[in-house]
Amino acid sequence: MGYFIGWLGNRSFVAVGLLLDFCALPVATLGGAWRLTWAQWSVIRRYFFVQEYFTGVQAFLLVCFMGLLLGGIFAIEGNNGLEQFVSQRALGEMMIFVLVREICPLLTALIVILRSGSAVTIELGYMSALGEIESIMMMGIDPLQLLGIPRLLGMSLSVICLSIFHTCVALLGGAFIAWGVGGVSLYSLLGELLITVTGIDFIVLLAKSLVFGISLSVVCLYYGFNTGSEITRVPVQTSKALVMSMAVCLFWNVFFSVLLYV
Amino acid sequence: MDVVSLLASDNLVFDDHEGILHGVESFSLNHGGKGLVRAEDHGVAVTFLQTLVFLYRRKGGTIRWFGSDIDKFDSSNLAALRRRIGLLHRDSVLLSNLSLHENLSLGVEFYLTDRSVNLGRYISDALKLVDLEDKQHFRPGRLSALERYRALLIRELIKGSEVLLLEEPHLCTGFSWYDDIPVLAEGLGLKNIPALLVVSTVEIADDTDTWEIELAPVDMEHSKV
Repeated sequence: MGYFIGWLGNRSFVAVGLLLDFCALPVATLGGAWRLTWAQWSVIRRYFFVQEYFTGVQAFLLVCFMGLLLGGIFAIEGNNGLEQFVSQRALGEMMIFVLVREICPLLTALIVILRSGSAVTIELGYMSALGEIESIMMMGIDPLQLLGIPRLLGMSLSVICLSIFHTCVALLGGAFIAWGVGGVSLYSLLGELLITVTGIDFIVLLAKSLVFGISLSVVCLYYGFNTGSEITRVPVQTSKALVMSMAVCLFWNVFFSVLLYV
Repeated sequence: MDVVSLLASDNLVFDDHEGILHGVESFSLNHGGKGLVRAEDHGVAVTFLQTLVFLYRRKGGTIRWFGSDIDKFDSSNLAALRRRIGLLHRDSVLLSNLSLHENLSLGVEFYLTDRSVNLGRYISDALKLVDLEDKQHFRPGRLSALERYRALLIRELIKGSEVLLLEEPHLCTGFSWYDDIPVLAEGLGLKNIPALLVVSTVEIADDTDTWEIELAPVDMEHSKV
Protein backbone atom coordinates (compact mmCIF):
# COMPACT_ATOMS: atom_id res chain seq x y z
CA MET A 1 0.00 0.00 0.00
CA GLY A 2 2.81 2.37 0.98
CA TYR A 3 4.59 1.55 -2.26
CA PHE A 4 1.44 2.32 -4.25
CA ILE A 5 0.93 5.67 -2.51
CA GLY A 6 4.58 6.52 -3.12
CA TRP A 7 4.26 5.59 -6.79
CA LEU A 8 1.04 7.60 -7.09
CA GLY A 9 2.65 10.63 -5.46
CA ASN A 10 5.64 10.37 -7.74
CA ARG A 11 3.49 10.12 -10.86
CA SER A 12 1.39 13.06 -9.67
CA PHE A 13 4.47 15.23 -9.31
CA VAL A 14 5.66 14.18 -12.78
CA ALA A 15 2.23 14.96 -14.27
CA VAL A 16 2.04 18.38 -12.61
CA GLY A 17 5.59 19.15 -13.76
CA LEU A 18 4.70 18.17 -17.32
CA LEU A 19 1.55 20.29 -17.22
CA LEU A 20 3.53 23.30 -16.00
CA ASP A 21 6.10 22.72 -18.77
CA PHE A 22 3.31 22.65 -21.36
CA CYS A 23 1.96 25.94 -19.99
CA ALA A 24 5.40 27.53 -19.87
CA LEU A 25 6.36 26.67 -23.44
CA PRO A 26 3.92 28.98 -25.30
CA VAL A 27 4.65 31.73 -22.77
CA ALA A 28 8.39 31.38 -23.34
CA THR A 29 7.91 31.11 -27.09
CA LEU A 30 5.58 34.05 -27.60
CA GLY A 31 6.64 36.05 -24.54
CA GLY A 32 9.66 37.58 -26.21
CA ALA A 33 7.96 38.05 -29.58
CA TRP A 34 7.24 41.71 -28.97
CA ARG A 35 10.97 42.38 -28.73
CA LEU A 36 11.71 40.97 -32.17
CA THR A 37 12.96 43.37 -34.81
CA TRP A 38 11.63 43.63 -38.38
CA ALA A 39 14.60 41.59 -39.62
CA GLN A 40 13.86 38.83 -37.13
CA TRP A 41 10.16 38.84 -38.01
CA SER A 42 10.98 38.61 -41.70
CA VAL A 43 13.05 35.46 -41.05
CA ILE A 44 10.36 33.97 -38.80
CA ARG A 45 7.66 34.86 -41.35
CA ARG A 46 9.44 32.76 -43.98
CA TYR A 47 9.45 29.74 -41.67
CA PHE A 48 5.80 30.44 -40.80
CA PHE A 49 4.76 30.31 -44.46
CA VAL A 50 6.65 27.03 -44.94
CA GLN A 51 4.84 25.55 -41.92
CA GLU A 52 1.49 26.92 -43.07
CA TYR A 53 2.03 25.46 -46.53
CA PHE A 54 2.93 22.03 -45.15
CA THR A 55 0.29 21.80 -42.45
CA GLY A 56 -2.52 23.76 -44.05
CA VAL A 57 -2.26 23.82 -47.83
CA GLN A 58 -0.84 20.35 -48.43
CA ALA A 59 -3.39 18.78 -46.07
CA PHE A 60 -6.32 20.60 -47.66
CA LEU A 61 -7.34 17.88 -50.13
CA LEU A 62 -6.88 15.14 -47.55
CA VAL A 63 -9.09 16.96 -45.07
CA CYS A 64 -11.73 17.64 -47.73
CA PHE A 65 -11.71 13.98 -48.74
CA MET A 66 -12.05 12.87 -45.12
CA GLY A 67 -14.84 15.39 -44.65
CA LEU A 68 -16.69 14.02 -47.66
CA LEU A 69 -16.35 10.47 -46.36
CA LEU A 70 -17.44 11.50 -42.89
CA GLY A 71 -20.44 13.41 -44.19
CA GLY A 72 -21.33 10.47 -46.44
CA ILE A 73 -21.18 7.94 -43.61
CA PHE A 74 -23.25 10.20 -41.41
CA ALA A 75 -25.86 10.84 -44.08
CA ILE A 76 -26.21 7.18 -45.04
CA GLU A 77 -26.35 6.00 -41.43
CA GLY A 78 -28.73 8.80 -40.51
CA ASN A 79 -30.99 8.18 -43.45
CA ASN A 80 -31.02 4.39 -43.50
CA GLY A 81 -29.64 2.89 -40.33
CA LEU A 82 -31.32 5.37 -38.01
CA GLU A 83 -34.42 6.13 -40.04
CA GLN A 84 -36.62 4.41 -37.52
CA PHE A 85 -35.29 6.71 -34.79
CA VAL A 86 -34.86 10.05 -36.50
CA SER A 87 -36.82 12.11 -38.98
CA GLN A 88 -35.30 14.10 -41.84
CA ARG A 89 -35.62 17.23 -39.74
CA ALA A 90 -33.72 15.53 -36.93
CA LEU A 91 -31.04 14.41 -39.41
CA GLY A 92 -30.16 18.04 -40.14
CA GLU A 93 -30.01 18.86 -36.44
CA MET A 94 -27.89 15.81 -35.72
CA MET A 95 -25.46 16.72 -38.48
CA ILE A 96 -25.02 20.20 -37.04
CA PHE A 97 -24.62 19.04 -33.45
CA VAL A 98 -22.39 16.08 -34.09
CA LEU A 99 -20.35 17.20 -37.09
CA VAL A 100 -19.89 20.92 -36.39
CA ARG A 101 -19.51 20.80 -32.65
CA GLU A 102 -17.85 17.45 -32.08
CA ILE A 103 -16.42 15.31 -34.83
CA CYS A 104 -15.06 17.74 -37.44
CA PRO A 105 -12.75 19.79 -35.17
CA LEU A 106 -11.58 16.64 -33.40
CA LEU A 107 -10.96 14.68 -36.59
CA THR A 108 -9.12 17.65 -38.13
CA ALA A 109 -6.91 17.86 -35.06
CA LEU A 110 -6.19 14.12 -35.31
CA ILE A 111 -5.25 14.48 -39.00
CA VAL A 112 -2.91 17.38 -38.15
CA ILE A 113 -1.38 15.42 -35.25
CA LEU A 114 -0.68 12.39 -37.43
CA ARG A 115 0.51 14.37 -40.42
CA SER A 116 2.24 17.48 -39.07
CA GLY A 117 2.64 16.84 -35.35
CA SER A 118 4.72 13.76 -36.04
CA ALA A 119 6.77 15.62 -38.66
CA VAL A 120 7.46 18.55 -36.34
CA THR A 121 8.50 16.29 -33.45
CA ILE A 122 10.77 14.20 -35.67
CA GLU A 123 12.31 17.28 -37.29
CA LEU A 124 13.02 19.01 -33.99
CA GLY A 125 14.16 15.72 -32.46
CA TYR A 126 16.73 15.18 -35.18
CA MET A 127 17.82 18.81 -35.00
CA SER A 128 18.29 18.40 -31.28
CA ALA A 129 20.14 15.09 -31.52
CA LEU A 130 22.39 16.19 -34.38
CA GLY A 131 23.43 19.44 -32.70
CA GLU A 132 21.55 21.76 -35.07
CA ILE A 133 19.68 23.38 -32.17
CA GLU A 134 23.06 24.17 -30.61
CA SER A 135 24.14 25.64 -33.93
CA ILE A 136 21.12 27.94 -33.95
CA MET A 137 21.82 28.97 -30.37
CA MET A 138 25.42 29.80 -31.22
CA MET A 139 24.19 32.06 -34.04
CA GLY A 140 22.64 34.10 -31.24
CA ILE A 141 19.14 32.95 -32.12
CA ASP A 142 16.69 31.61 -29.56
CA PRO A 143 15.44 28.31 -31.08
CA LEU A 144 12.06 28.90 -29.48
CA GLN A 145 11.73 32.01 -31.60
CA LEU A 146 13.12 30.67 -34.86
CA LEU A 147 11.57 27.19 -34.71
CA GLY A 148 8.84 27.57 -32.09
CA ILE A 149 6.93 30.67 -33.16
CA PRO A 150 6.38 29.67 -36.82
CA ARG A 151 5.29 26.16 -35.90
CA LEU A 152 3.04 27.24 -33.05
CA LEU A 153 1.30 29.91 -35.11
CA GLY A 154 1.34 27.96 -38.36
CA MET A 155 -0.13 24.78 -36.92
CA SER A 156 -2.75 26.62 -34.84
CA LEU A 157 -3.93 28.68 -37.80
CA SER A 158 -3.94 25.61 -40.03
CA VAL A 159 -6.12 23.64 -37.62
CA ILE A 160 -8.66 26.49 -37.54
CA CYS A 161 -8.79 26.84 -41.35
CA LEU A 162 -8.84 23.09 -41.96
CA SER A 163 -11.61 22.58 -39.39
CA ILE A 164 -13.80 25.13 -41.18
CA PHE A 165 -13.20 23.50 -44.57
CA HIS A 166 -13.65 20.03 -43.08
CA THR A 167 -16.98 21.00 -41.56
CA CYS A 168 -18.28 22.67 -44.72
CA VAL A 169 -17.32 19.69 -46.90
CA ALA A 170 -18.77 17.21 -44.39
CA LEU A 171 -22.10 19.04 -44.23
CA LEU A 172 -22.44 19.71 -47.96
CA GLY A 173 -21.00 16.34 -48.94
CA GLY A 174 -23.28 14.60 -46.45
CA ALA A 175 -26.30 16.41 -47.83
CA PHE A 176 -25.40 15.53 -51.42
CA ILE A 177 -24.75 11.89 -50.56
CA ALA A 178 -28.01 11.68 -48.60
CA TRP A 179 -29.74 13.09 -51.66
CA GLY A 180 -27.92 10.87 -54.15
CA VAL A 181 -27.96 7.59 -52.23
CA GLY A 182 -30.89 7.91 -49.87
CA GLY A 183 -33.24 9.94 -52.03
CA VAL A 184 -33.60 12.63 -49.39
CA SER A 185 -34.75 16.00 -50.65
CA LEU A 186 -31.57 18.06 -51.08
CA TYR A 187 -33.45 21.33 -50.94
CA SER A 188 -35.15 20.57 -47.66
CA LEU A 189 -32.05 19.05 -46.04
CA LEU A 190 -29.88 22.05 -46.94
CA GLY A 191 -32.64 24.34 -45.71
CA GLU A 192 -32.78 22.36 -42.48
CA LEU A 193 -29.03 22.69 -42.04
CA LEU A 194 -29.17 26.44 -42.62
CA ILE A 195 -32.02 26.89 -40.15
CA THR A 196 -30.41 24.73 -37.49
CA VAL A 197 -26.88 26.14 -37.56
CA THR A 198 -26.36 29.05 -35.16
CA GLY A 199 -23.61 31.46 -34.26
CA ILE A 200 -22.88 29.39 -31.16
CA ASP A 201 -22.04 26.38 -33.34
CA PHE A 202 -19.55 28.47 -35.29
CA ILE A 203 -18.01 29.90 -32.11
CA VAL A 204 -17.68 26.41 -30.62
CA LEU A 205 -16.01 25.20 -33.82
CA LEU A 206 -13.54 28.09 -33.81
CA ALA A 207 -12.82 27.87 -30.07
CA LYS A 208 -12.23 24.12 -30.20
CA SER A 209 -10.01 24.39 -33.28
CA LEU A 210 -7.94 27.14 -31.70
CA VAL A 211 -7.47 25.23 -28.45
CA PHE A 212 -6.71 21.97 -30.29
CA GLY A 213 -4.23 23.75 -32.57
CA ILE A 214 -2.33 25.43 -29.75
CA SER A 215 -2.34 22.30 -27.58
CA LEU A 216 -1.12 19.87 -30.18
CA SER A 217 1.59 22.21 -31.44
CA VAL A 218 2.79 22.90 -27.87
CA VAL A 219 2.94 19.18 -27.08
CA CYS A 220 4.83 18.33 -30.29
CA LEU A 221 7.26 21.24 -29.83
CA TYR A 222 7.85 20.21 -26.22
CA TYR A 223 8.72 16.61 -27.04
CA GLY A 224 10.76 17.63 -30.09
CA PHE A 225 12.87 20.16 -28.22
CA ASN A 226 13.38 17.76 -25.31
CA THR A 227 14.81 14.91 -27.36
CA GLY A 228 18.35 15.44 -26.12
CA SER A 229 21.50 14.27 -27.83
CA GLU A 230 20.64 10.61 -28.40
CA ILE A 231 19.19 9.89 -31.80
CA THR A 232 17.45 6.77 -30.47
CA ARG A 233 15.22 9.09 -28.42
CA VAL A 234 13.59 10.50 -31.57
CA PRO A 235 11.05 7.69 -32.11
CA VAL A 236 10.35 7.52 -28.38
CA GLN A 237 9.66 11.24 -28.20
CA THR A 238 7.55 11.13 -31.37
CA SER A 239 5.42 8.33 -29.99
CA LYS A 240 4.96 10.22 -26.71
CA ALA A 241 4.09 13.43 -28.56
CA LEU A 242 1.41 11.78 -30.70
CA VAL A 243 -0.23 9.94 -27.83
CA MET A 244 -0.11 12.99 -25.56
CA SER A 245 -1.45 15.29 -28.30
CA MET A 246 -4.42 12.99 -28.87
CA ALA A 247 -5.05 12.70 -25.14
CA VAL A 248 -4.90 16.48 -24.70
CA CYS A 249 -7.30 17.08 -27.62
CA LEU A 250 -9.74 14.50 -26.24
CA PHE A 251 -9.49 16.13 -22.83
CA TRP A 252 -10.33 19.55 -24.30
CA ASN A 253 -13.21 18.01 -26.26
CA VAL A 254 -14.74 16.63 -23.07
CA PHE A 255 -14.04 19.95 -21.33
CA PHE A 256 -15.96 21.86 -24.01
CA SER A 257 -18.83 19.35 -23.89
CA VAL A 258 -19.11 19.77 -20.13
CA LEU A 259 -19.00 23.53 -20.54
CA LEU A 260 -21.76 23.49 -23.15
CA TYR A 261 -24.14 20.82 -21.98
CA VAL A 262 -23.72 20.33 -18.24
CA MET B 1 41.47 51.21 -13.59
CA ASP B 2 40.68 47.49 -13.64
CA VAL B 3 40.63 45.84 -17.03
CA VAL B 4 37.48 43.74 -17.34
CA SER B 5 38.27 40.23 -18.57
CA LEU B 6 36.39 38.97 -21.57
CA LEU B 7 35.97 35.67 -19.81
CA ALA B 8 36.62 34.85 -16.18
CA SER B 9 35.79 31.72 -14.27
CA ASP B 10 36.25 30.60 -10.69
CA ASN B 11 36.34 26.95 -9.64
CA LEU B 12 34.15 25.81 -12.50
CA VAL B 13 32.76 22.29 -12.09
CA PHE B 14 30.87 20.48 -14.82
CA ASP B 15 29.51 17.05 -15.67
CA ASP B 16 30.89 15.03 -18.60
CA HIS B 17 27.47 13.34 -19.24
CA GLU B 18 28.72 10.09 -17.72
CA GLY B 19 28.39 11.23 -14.16
CA ILE B 20 32.04 12.17 -13.71
CA LEU B 21 32.63 15.70 -12.54
CA HIS B 22 35.52 17.76 -13.88
CA GLY B 23 36.81 21.03 -12.67
CA VAL B 24 38.97 23.96 -13.63
CA GLU B 25 40.69 26.33 -11.29
CA SER B 26 40.25 30.07 -11.76
CA PHE B 27 41.26 31.51 -15.10
CA SER B 28 40.56 34.58 -17.18
CA LEU B 29 40.88 35.50 -20.83
CA ASN B 30 41.73 39.06 -21.75
CA HIS B 31 41.77 41.03 -24.98
CA GLY B 32 44.24 39.53 -27.41
CA GLY B 33 44.99 36.62 -25.08
CA LYS B 34 45.18 32.93 -25.88
CA GLY B 35 44.44 30.05 -23.60
CA LEU B 36 45.10 26.39 -24.22
CA VAL B 37 42.83 23.75 -22.76
CA ARG B 38 44.51 20.42 -22.11
CA ALA B 39 42.46 17.37 -21.30
CA GLU B 40 43.08 13.65 -21.46
CA ASP B 41 39.59 13.26 -22.84
CA HIS B 42 38.66 15.58 -25.69
CA GLY B 43 34.96 14.96 -25.10
CA VAL B 44 35.41 16.55 -21.68
CA ALA B 45 37.19 19.53 -23.23
CA VAL B 46 34.35 20.08 -25.70
CA THR B 47 31.81 19.85 -22.87
CA PHE B 48 33.92 22.44 -21.04
CA LEU B 49 33.63 24.83 -24.00
CA GLN B 50 29.89 24.18 -24.24
CA THR B 51 29.52 24.80 -20.51
CA LEU B 52 31.27 28.15 -20.87
CA VAL B 53 28.57 29.34 -23.29
CA PHE B 54 25.79 27.84 -21.15
CA LEU B 55 24.82 25.12 -23.59
CA TYR B 56 25.25 22.84 -20.59
CA ARG B 57 24.56 23.77 -17.02
CA ARG B 58 27.56 23.69 -14.74
CA LYS B 59 27.57 22.00 -11.35
CA GLY B 60 29.44 24.71 -9.55
CA GLY B 61 31.62 27.79 -9.75
CA THR B 62 31.10 31.05 -11.61
CA ILE B 63 31.42 32.22 -15.20
CA ARG B 64 31.63 35.89 -16.13
CA TRP B 65 31.46 37.01 -19.74
CA PHE B 66 32.39 40.61 -20.57
CA GLY B 67 32.22 41.43 -16.88
CA SER B 68 28.70 40.06 -16.30
CA ASP B 69 27.71 36.97 -14.35
CA ILE B 70 26.15 34.47 -16.75
CA ASP B 71 23.55 33.49 -14.12
CA LYS B 72 21.96 36.93 -14.42
CA PHE B 73 21.31 36.58 -18.15
CA ASP B 74 17.78 35.89 -19.37
CA SER B 75 17.18 33.96 -22.61
CA SER B 76 17.41 37.00 -24.91
CA ASN B 77 20.57 38.27 -23.21
CA LEU B 78 22.01 34.79 -23.43
CA ALA B 79 21.26 34.65 -27.17
CA ALA B 80 22.94 38.03 -27.63
CA LEU B 81 25.92 36.82 -25.59
CA ARG B 82 26.35 33.67 -27.68
CA ARG B 83 26.36 35.84 -30.78
CA ARG B 84 29.53 37.50 -29.48
CA ILE B 85 31.28 34.15 -29.03
CA GLY B 86 32.46 31.82 -31.77
CA LEU B 87 32.38 28.11 -30.94
CA LEU B 88 33.77 25.43 -33.20
CA HIS B 89 34.27 21.82 -32.18
CA ARG B 90 34.09 18.36 -33.72
CA ASP B 91 30.30 18.13 -33.27
CA SER B 92 29.53 21.56 -34.70
CA VAL B 93 27.18 21.28 -37.66
CA LEU B 94 25.60 23.32 -40.39
CA LEU B 95 21.81 23.16 -40.68
CA SER B 96 21.20 20.27 -43.06
CA ASN B 97 18.09 21.67 -44.75
CA LEU B 98 19.72 24.97 -45.72
CA SER B 99 22.32 25.70 -48.36
CA LEU B 100 25.78 26.85 -47.35
CA HIS B 101 24.83 30.43 -48.23
CA GLU B 102 21.62 30.24 -46.19
CA ASN B 103 23.51 28.71 -43.26
CA LEU B 104 25.86 31.65 -43.14
CA SER B 105 23.29 34.34 -43.80
CA LEU B 106 20.72 33.16 -41.23
CA GLY B 107 22.58 34.41 -38.15
CA VAL B 108 23.60 37.67 -39.85
CA GLU B 109 20.13 38.34 -41.28
CA PHE B 110 18.50 37.77 -37.90
CA TYR B 111 20.42 40.72 -36.49
CA LEU B 112 20.46 42.92 -39.58
CA THR B 113 19.74 46.53 -38.72
CA ASP B 114 20.51 48.15 -42.05
CA ARG B 115 18.24 47.08 -44.92
CA SER B 116 20.58 48.54 -47.50
CA VAL B 117 23.30 46.00 -46.74
CA ASN B 118 23.91 43.60 -49.62
CA LEU B 119 23.87 40.43 -47.55
CA GLY B 120 24.31 38.09 -50.50
CA ARG B 121 27.46 39.87 -51.58
CA TYR B 122 28.82 39.90 -48.02
CA ILE B 123 28.33 36.15 -47.64
CA SER B 124 29.85 35.43 -51.04
CA ASP B 125 32.90 37.53 -50.19
CA ALA B 126 33.26 35.71 -46.87
CA LEU B 127 33.04 32.32 -48.58
CA LYS B 128 35.63 33.43 -51.09
CA LEU B 129 38.13 33.70 -48.22
CA VAL B 130 37.90 29.93 -47.71
CA ASP B 131 37.50 29.01 -51.40
CA LEU B 132 33.89 27.97 -51.00
CA GLU B 133 32.27 30.65 -53.12
CA ASP B 134 31.50 28.16 -55.91
CA LYS B 135 29.73 25.85 -53.47
CA GLN B 136 27.55 28.41 -51.71
CA HIS B 137 24.34 26.84 -53.01
CA PHE B 138 25.35 23.33 -51.95
CA ARG B 139 23.67 21.73 -48.98
CA PRO B 140 26.08 20.59 -46.22
CA GLY B 141 25.71 16.96 -47.28
CA ARG B 142 27.53 17.73 -50.53
CA LEU B 143 30.55 19.27 -48.81
CA SER B 144 33.64 17.46 -47.58
CA ALA B 145 34.37 17.41 -43.84
CA LEU B 146 37.14 19.98 -44.31
CA GLU B 147 34.84 22.28 -46.30
CA ARG B 148 32.13 21.98 -43.66
CA TYR B 149 34.50 22.95 -40.86
CA ARG B 150 35.84 25.86 -42.90
CA ALA B 151 32.30 27.02 -43.51
CA LEU B 152 31.58 26.70 -39.79
CA LEU B 153 34.67 28.76 -38.97
CA ILE B 154 33.57 31.47 -41.37
CA ARG B 155 30.05 31.34 -39.93
CA GLU B 156 31.48 31.98 -36.46
CA LEU B 157 33.64 34.82 -37.75
CA ILE B 158 31.04 36.69 -39.84
CA LYS B 159 28.71 37.07 -36.90
CA GLY B 160 31.39 39.33 -35.43
CA SER B 161 32.63 37.04 -32.66
CA GLU B 162 34.71 38.80 -30.06
CA VAL B 163 36.11 35.57 -28.62
CA LEU B 164 36.71 32.21 -30.26
CA LEU B 165 36.42 28.85 -28.51
CA LEU B 166 37.94 26.29 -30.85
CA GLU B 167 38.75 22.61 -30.70
CA GLU B 168 41.84 21.70 -32.71
CA PRO B 169 41.26 24.36 -35.36
CA HIS B 170 44.26 23.23 -37.39
CA LEU B 171 43.12 19.63 -37.59
CA CYS B 172 39.48 20.53 -38.27
CA THR B 173 39.89 23.29 -40.83
CA GLY B 174 43.43 22.89 -42.10
CA PHE B 175 44.05 26.50 -41.08
CA SER B 176 46.81 27.33 -38.65
CA TRP B 177 45.73 29.41 -35.69
CA TYR B 178 48.88 31.50 -35.87
CA ASP B 179 49.04 32.20 -39.60
CA ASP B 180 45.76 31.58 -41.38
CA ILE B 181 42.92 32.25 -38.94
CA PRO B 182 44.11 35.77 -37.98
CA VAL B 183 44.29 36.59 -41.70
CA LEU B 184 40.76 35.28 -42.20
CA ALA B 185 39.54 37.28 -39.22
CA GLU B 186 41.22 40.44 -40.47
CA GLY B 187 39.58 39.88 -43.85
CA LEU B 188 36.28 40.16 -42.03
CA GLY B 189 37.31 43.17 -39.97
CA LEU B 190 38.23 41.32 -36.76
CA LYS B 191 41.65 42.06 -35.30
CA ASN B 192 43.64 40.38 -32.57
CA ILE B 193 40.76 38.13 -31.61
CA PRO B 194 41.30 36.26 -28.32
CA ALA B 195 40.75 32.52 -28.19
CA LEU B 196 40.52 29.47 -26.01
CA LEU B 197 41.91 26.49 -27.89
CA VAL B 198 41.48 22.84 -27.07
CA VAL B 199 44.68 21.10 -28.10
CA SER B 200 46.07 17.64 -27.71
CA THR B 201 49.60 17.71 -29.13
CA VAL B 202 52.48 18.99 -27.06
CA GLU B 203 54.10 20.52 -30.14
CA ILE B 204 51.23 22.92 -30.62
CA ALA B 205 51.13 23.76 -26.95
CA ASP B 206 54.88 24.36 -26.74
CA ASP B 207 54.83 26.49 -29.83
CA THR B 208 52.82 29.23 -28.18
CA ASP B 209 53.33 32.01 -25.80
CA THR B 210 50.13 31.42 -23.89
CA TRP B 211 48.76 30.09 -20.63
CA GLU B 212 47.24 26.67 -20.15
CA ILE B 213 44.39 25.24 -18.17
CA GLU B 214 44.11 21.63 -17.23
CA LEU B 215 40.79 19.87 -16.84
CA ALA B 216 40.83 17.47 -13.93
CA PRO B 217 38.32 15.15 -12.26
CA VAL B 218 36.76 16.64 -9.18
CA ASP B 219 36.11 15.11 -5.80
CA MET B 220 32.93 16.95 -4.87
CA GLU B 221 32.74 15.42 -1.43
CA HIS B 222 35.96 17.09 -0.42
CA SER B 223 35.49 20.05 -2.82
CA LYS B 224 38.89 19.44 -4.36
CA VAL B 225 40.04 19.77 -7.95
